[in-house]
Amino acid sequence: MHRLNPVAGMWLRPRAASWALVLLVVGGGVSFFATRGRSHRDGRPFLPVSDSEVVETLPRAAGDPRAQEAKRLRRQLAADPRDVSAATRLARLEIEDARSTSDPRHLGYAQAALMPWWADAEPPPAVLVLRATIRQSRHDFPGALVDLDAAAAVQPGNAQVWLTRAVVLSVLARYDEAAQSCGVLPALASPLVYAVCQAGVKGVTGQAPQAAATLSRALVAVPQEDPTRPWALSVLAEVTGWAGNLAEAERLSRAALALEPDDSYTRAQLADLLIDSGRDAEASELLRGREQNDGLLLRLAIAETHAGASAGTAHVKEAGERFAAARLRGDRLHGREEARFELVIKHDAAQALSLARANWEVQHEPADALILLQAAQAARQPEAAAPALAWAKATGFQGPAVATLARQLAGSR
Amino acid sequence: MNARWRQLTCLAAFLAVWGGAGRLARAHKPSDSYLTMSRRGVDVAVRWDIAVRDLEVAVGVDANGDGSVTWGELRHAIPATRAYAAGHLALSTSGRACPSSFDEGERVVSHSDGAYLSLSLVFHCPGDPDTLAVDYTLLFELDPQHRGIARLNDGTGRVLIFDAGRRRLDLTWSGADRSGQLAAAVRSGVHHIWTGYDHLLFLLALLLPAVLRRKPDGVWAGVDDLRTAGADIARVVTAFTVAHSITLSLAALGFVALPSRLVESLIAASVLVAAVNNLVPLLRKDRWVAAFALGLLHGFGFSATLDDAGLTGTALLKTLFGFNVGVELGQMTMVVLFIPIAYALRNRALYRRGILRGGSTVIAAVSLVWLIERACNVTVFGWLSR
Repeated sequence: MHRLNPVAGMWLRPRAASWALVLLVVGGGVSFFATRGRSHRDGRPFLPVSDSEVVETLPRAAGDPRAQEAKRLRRQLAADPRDVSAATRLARLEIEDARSTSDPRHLGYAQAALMPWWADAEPPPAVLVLRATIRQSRHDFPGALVDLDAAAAVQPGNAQVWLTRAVVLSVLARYDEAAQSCGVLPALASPLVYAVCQAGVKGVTGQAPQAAATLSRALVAVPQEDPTRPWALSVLAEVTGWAGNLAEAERLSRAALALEPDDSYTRAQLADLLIDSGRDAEASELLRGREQNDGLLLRLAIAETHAGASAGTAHVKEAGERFAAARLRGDRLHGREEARFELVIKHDAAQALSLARANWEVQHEPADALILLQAAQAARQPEAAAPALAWAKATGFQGPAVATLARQLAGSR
Repeated sequence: MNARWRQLTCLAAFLAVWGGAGRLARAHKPSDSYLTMSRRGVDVAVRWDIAVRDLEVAVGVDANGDGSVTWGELRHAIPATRAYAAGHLALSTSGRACPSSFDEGERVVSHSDGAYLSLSLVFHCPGDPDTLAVDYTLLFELDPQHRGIARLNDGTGRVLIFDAGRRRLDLTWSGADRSGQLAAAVRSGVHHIWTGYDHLLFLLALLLPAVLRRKPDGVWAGVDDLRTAGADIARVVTAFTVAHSITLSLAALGFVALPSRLVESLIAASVLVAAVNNLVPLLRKDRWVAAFALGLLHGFGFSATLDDAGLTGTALLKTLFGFNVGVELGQMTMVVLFIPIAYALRNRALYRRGILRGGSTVIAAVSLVWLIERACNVTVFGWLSR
């Protein structure tokens, strides 16, 4: 028997080396399955190494001007909670922050400022609009509508009220009223705002090509630096997609995103377009680094799962944990996304269908119809798709994915 | 020097370049606090995790206003945090309040949206807290969308959710718990050893050579009889057990507190040493000495699990005992499975080359990844991390 350095020997002798290889593969596989889905130290309390260890980075430093303004207003409210001017200024500030960061804590802070009037049937008009915005963000659409109706009565000249009212009515599938609400806008706002409002309603009610054409024309007349341009482009992209022109929809989404890279809604819209056409790598590229937003994380997980990327497992796990956390606190804000997660990633069609049905009770946007149709088909329960089929028939909605599924499901019934 | 730079230099120190390192951006979610409530006789122990972000709004923790909250800043805010927290959680039984006190030893814990301060408090009820009224009002005046999410540690896994409209909830403990507390601790111990891969791999690395002996020329050969192997295994396992029981008790009773990353890094290093020792003799002493010395580290690791289960604080001797028994039972199961197989194969080249060397190499590789991850606070392979 010859004597070798044991380590060197292991690498040099072919038989031992192949054994080592086998064990490496087996060991790796075992630890892969055994430890899959665990992340470093999450959920376990720990004692930091030293006083200088940074344990948390706050989204806004205390010295930040907006943070100081918020603090000042909060102090003012502590002295007099019913100071309407300070309360609405703080609520507006927090709602803006909620929009720009997509961090829902700010909506809670906004609500706190409005608490003295939160349950009032007739709060001050300035409070009404803000309360409606917060209710809408909580997916309390009927509640938001009550406030917006009241606000429209006392502030008929407020364009924001009519626009928001049109959006809420559309989500509730009350399209005639939504169009009427848009109809007030020409007297109050720019022609582009009116065109966007109309396109949002007409795009869903079977007139997507005309709506897209009208909105395009309105856009041409607007200067490049107009602040409503990115929003108008994003709506136009969506309506163009519903009209079936996917290449143009992609171009428009990218243009909107170039003007406003932090717009999660447009980013999600573009990601869906890429995922639906099998361009998962491009979708991942678009979404990477934006995992803070649950909707974008979900799409990243889907794109990576399709592409078979190993990073997908971490994102899938993370998305699952966020849905679980939301469910734990009793939130029902993510029904559409969660249904998609269950359907596309977990392949649990029954669970997806139950989520999609509950979501349909709350909101009737095209994406809500789509997930209900998809889940019903996957669960082999075409009858469960009836409400979405009825909606598609009544509206004449032309979105290609919905139309295809509706045909298939109508045929199988 | 900022944290990112420190991570990079730390990685460079390992001379390792891995792809795919990095952590996810934190979630954006509404504000929640997490409570774990355990019953201990007439006492109710509560572990309470409150987000650092929420504490900044409620009591102010970022003393220098630079947007980074250090452990030092957070520690200084603990008295204010305790005062704030104590005023917003009340327990009572049959209308009589349960006075509360805080246990020392606040920790930091990571949830999906960031770092939380983990408080530990005990409510001393005047009578049997079979049924409790819980009043929770934390943060509601600052954020009406805040929720308090309380998990009952009584084997039922029930969850109570407090929100601005539901600030008082009544609870009745599950009857199974009162007799089952010890059993739960034993189960927790077994569970921990079987899912605590670092402890398991450490033990395995020490046991792999137990059916062999190193001849004077350094070559391994099978032992002659089962008794030799059995005695060796008994020495190693006993030494490991005694060592980690000592440090687990010291840590759980609050006599010693070591930084978690240090403990976890050292545990990873101990697995690495034990595995490499099978390839190249590093430790001159008998292996039971190594099992004892390195086993001391593992006890500190076990104590983190007790923290996690909200089982720290006063009157936890029974839990500690049960947990230790569970760990030993889990360990013995592995030994009983291991001995016959190893003994039967000991004279085969397969065992010496494949299982001893190959297995030790795998263990060494895994523990090296853990060491890098824990020391540098990064994730190298998500699926390998624990």
